[in-house]
Amino acid sequence: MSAAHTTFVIERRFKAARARVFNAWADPKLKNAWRSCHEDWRSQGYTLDFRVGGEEREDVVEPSGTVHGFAARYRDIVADERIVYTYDMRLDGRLISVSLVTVTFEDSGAGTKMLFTEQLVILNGLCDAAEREEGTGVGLDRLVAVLDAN
Amino acid sequence: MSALALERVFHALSDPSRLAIVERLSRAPASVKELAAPLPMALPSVMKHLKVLEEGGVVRSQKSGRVRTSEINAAMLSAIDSWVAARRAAYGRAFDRLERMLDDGEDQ
Repeated sequence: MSAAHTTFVIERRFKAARARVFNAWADPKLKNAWRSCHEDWRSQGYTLDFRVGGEEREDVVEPSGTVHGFAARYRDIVADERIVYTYDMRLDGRLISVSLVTVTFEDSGAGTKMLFTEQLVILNGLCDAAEREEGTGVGLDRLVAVLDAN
Repeated sequence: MSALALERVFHALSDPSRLAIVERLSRAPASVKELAAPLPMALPSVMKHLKVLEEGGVVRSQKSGRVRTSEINAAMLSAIDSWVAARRAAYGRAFDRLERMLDDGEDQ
């Protein structure tokens, strides 16, 4: 049994003002329009209850039949400023990771700087999922960057 | 790579001294003596850390005459990197869609 930890940060800048960027996370219809990542995976229904304590869920089925389960709970919401949530990922019901995500929104010129920070614990069995994903022979520099961020 | 192998990689890397050794070896292969020189520890400690790194598949070593040289096993390390990179990339694509949606005013 193992539990490995890592953290990654993604910074994005948008031309849109903070309230609009924040709203794209808060409105279930808008959120669902940009969040899903695989066109050929079939959703078994997406729900978002955007309030502290509220849940967000989706089970998605790959063409191979494998079910990816996503379940989040919102922990802190400050309108137009900050969202904190936790979520776990399951592969055919088996827990593969648990994450703590913090998203912050700041003014940047006329637009918005969004900072997405995910701290995750990777549990047993993740590699089955990892191996299907792209990317081999990636430079050591980037690995060190990931580890430095820990 | 099996799940177990990746777990061993993470275990091997979860120590500042071993990370320092990995960073040193990522520049070039080195002997135990060369590895120990900049580190505040004796040879046996370095060898102990090297053993953990070898067991984790992070480092490989070979003996030539009386000198044992260690080097990075890049394939093992890239497996971890690719998993985190894949997750990052998925967010990147989602945020690209978010940007397009906002730029096109589809949220209004």
